[in-house]
Amino acid sequence: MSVLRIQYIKKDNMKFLSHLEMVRFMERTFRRMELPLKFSQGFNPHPKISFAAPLAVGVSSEAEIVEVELTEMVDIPEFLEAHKADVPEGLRFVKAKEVARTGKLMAMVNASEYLVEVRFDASSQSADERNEKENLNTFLEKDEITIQKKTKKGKIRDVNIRPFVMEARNVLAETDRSIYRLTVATGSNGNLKPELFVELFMKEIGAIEHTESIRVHRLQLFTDKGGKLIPLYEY
Amino acid sequence: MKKLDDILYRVEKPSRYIGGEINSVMKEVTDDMVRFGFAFPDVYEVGMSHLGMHIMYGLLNSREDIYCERVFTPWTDLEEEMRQAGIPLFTVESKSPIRDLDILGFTLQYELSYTNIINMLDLGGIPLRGAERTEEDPLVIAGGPCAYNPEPIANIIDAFVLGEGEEVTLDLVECVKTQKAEGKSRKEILRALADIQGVYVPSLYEVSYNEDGTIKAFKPTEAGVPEKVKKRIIKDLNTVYYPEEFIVPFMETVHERAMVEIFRGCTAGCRFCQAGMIYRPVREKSVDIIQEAAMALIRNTGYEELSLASLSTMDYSKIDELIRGLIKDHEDNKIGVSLPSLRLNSFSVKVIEQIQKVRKTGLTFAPEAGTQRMRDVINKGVTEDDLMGTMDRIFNLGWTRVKLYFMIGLPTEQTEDLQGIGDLGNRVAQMYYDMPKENRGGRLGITLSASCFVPKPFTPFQWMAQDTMETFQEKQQIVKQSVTDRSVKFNYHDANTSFLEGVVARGDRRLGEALIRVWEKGSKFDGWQEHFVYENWITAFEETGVDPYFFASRERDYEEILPWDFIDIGVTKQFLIRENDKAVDAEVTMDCREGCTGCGINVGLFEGGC
Repeated sequence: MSVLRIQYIKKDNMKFLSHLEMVRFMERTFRRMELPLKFSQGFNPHPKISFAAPLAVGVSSEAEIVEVELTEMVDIPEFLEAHKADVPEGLRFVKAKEVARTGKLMAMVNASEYLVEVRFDASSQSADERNEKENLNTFLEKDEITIQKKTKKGKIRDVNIRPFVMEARNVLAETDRSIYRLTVATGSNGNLKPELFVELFMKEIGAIEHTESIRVHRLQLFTDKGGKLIPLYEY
Repeated sequence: MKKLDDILYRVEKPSRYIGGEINSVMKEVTDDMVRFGFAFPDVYEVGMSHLGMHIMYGLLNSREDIYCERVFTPWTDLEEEMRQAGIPLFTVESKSPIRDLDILGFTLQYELSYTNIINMLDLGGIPLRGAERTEEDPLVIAGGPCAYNPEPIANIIDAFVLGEGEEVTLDLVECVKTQKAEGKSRKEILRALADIQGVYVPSLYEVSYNEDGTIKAFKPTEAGVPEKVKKRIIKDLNTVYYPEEFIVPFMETVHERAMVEIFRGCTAGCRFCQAGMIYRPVREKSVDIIQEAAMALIRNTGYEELSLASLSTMDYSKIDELIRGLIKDHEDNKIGVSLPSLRLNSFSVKVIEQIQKVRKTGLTFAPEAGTQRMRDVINKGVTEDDLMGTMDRIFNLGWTRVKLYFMIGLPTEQTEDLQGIGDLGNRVAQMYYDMPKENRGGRLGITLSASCFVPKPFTPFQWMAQDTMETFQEKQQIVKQSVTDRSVKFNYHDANTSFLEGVVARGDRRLGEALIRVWEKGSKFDGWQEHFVYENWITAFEETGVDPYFFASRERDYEEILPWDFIDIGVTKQFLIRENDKAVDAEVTMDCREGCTGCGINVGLFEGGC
């Protein structure tokens, strides 16, 4: 058995595919490409495909990871070339390699890096008035940034999200839009949606009323190796 | 379309609207090409499950001078956004406004989708009535099963296509292309279209009525326009176009599988079934052709399931050979083969057994009626022994979930026929419990589902009065009470919907304005329970002076001119009358594979044997 790990881009209209749609799309793509798929046992055999971290509808990404189990390894350069004729431009396999099966792919994800774009309406304050760079630093100095979260039982609980924010920078500040670059926790041991943090910050600086839209783009998935974040693909 | 991108963030299931799916076709739009919109008056996931759309899309796009794009009804959230932002209804492929197309072709699959057609025209900025359209507007055409009574939307549709679409649609496009190149007017184009066999242009006909509201005469208004419109038939299915690739939707659709057509028509002769009459005669594809088509589709789509499409799969003459072949071809890739529309007999079980080797798929059967007498009335060639034998076999094979379909409101129906539905369910359950424990699969679940019968044009029951809603509701209760076993569940459909289907199915031109009025009251997606507002229909009928009971609940004489009588489907009226008379006496007619039953298709349109 061989495991093929693929890093792919998901952008343009493909960002509107839900995770479930992506799962089905990937299986069918591999079938069309006639990869030597390994199937699960049982009455309803299905190919063994696993994704690192589901993307929400509308979120684009530079570095998604999928792994597929094969009965034998394929020629990787050929595989990377062949898919271009088959799938829409919004989806591109950028690199692939054979990996040893090390455990659940999803469990290996610890953090993600994002670009978050905020667009402001016509009546928004100016960039100077919002003073996002300095205000962000002050905001990040807080020990606790709490949000209220509904538990599965429906109770409301305070959650401190500050520990989930590893890095946050404002990289562009214009009157009608700002861009943030964030590294936040992803996975079962803590998970933060980057737009949620940006929303809280917009509230903090009184800009939420003028926030028209927030768009999210994932740049990288990381795994934690001895306290150091390394790109998941490299692991 | 920056605006659209923003909007897609705010609507449910945006992947419905993005296009760009595998095997969808992008063409550069040029001035000399004919732009065709294949319009399905429902949401994307419903329309994309429709086989006819895949065939027509592939066929039209195989021609360089035609660009066929898809158009669906946007869900209400997107519609609201579009109306607010002033975005007119657009095609999935190039996102072009539909009013830029040359031809907009609707497929008519069910009567209650007509409000969506009106809504789509409005959303596209196309005048609702044919008479209001100008030279700038696309030609609005329609085809599909409901086109066999085109009259209720005769004021909305410019031209109808009757019969199998492969040849006639190309003829129609060709005609439009030549006429336009010659600078002909809309009126002249429509007149030219009327000369094509299988095309009906309603504005070229005139209807007069008797005092009692029945039709007095139905006549062309111009010399040379045919009095009878003959449906089109494809003679050889082995040579007719069939797509090697289907569009593979991103989103989950109703039928997620590669569909291969195996034959058209049906020999069973069930008397309630419109498809069984209008799609005659039976024409099969060869095993080789089907296997080749299946192979190409699986390769090009990546689907994990293959489905055989026809009106009655088990009647394919070499079904055993076909299934064996398909399983062999696709076993290694774990492709499941599924068979919709199973007839009940021991033979079908043998086939199921083979399928089970690869993958278990759900089982549904349609006995249609609860007693033998009732099944004889409708000429459903299924006996109690067939049903029980089949159930016994499938239980022994490990299946425990079965769905059985029935109809209520059939002609001559008595209380005992209704109770027979529940009794049948109870007996099937009992049979399961009588099996030795070690042979039983798991928890038993039998679902009995009963729909309210809607008499359709071109069937032996086209003259009968449909049951009223009150009667339907009483009958539903009778069936419900007859179900006593705990593992048997009874589902029934809303009688309101069936009543309105009945009105439209056998309505005439006088319904046209009423339908527009229904839409004006806000109705759309009437096939969706959550959107259906019965009161809108009833008040619209009142306001436009239409008596719905006249169309649904009235028994007609054989002598009456029916609104669809001008269409020649090949099957004769005499045959339908004979079948209706036999039905009353519960007298069965043999399957026409056993011998010709004289329906007329072989002499009328097919020139020689079936």
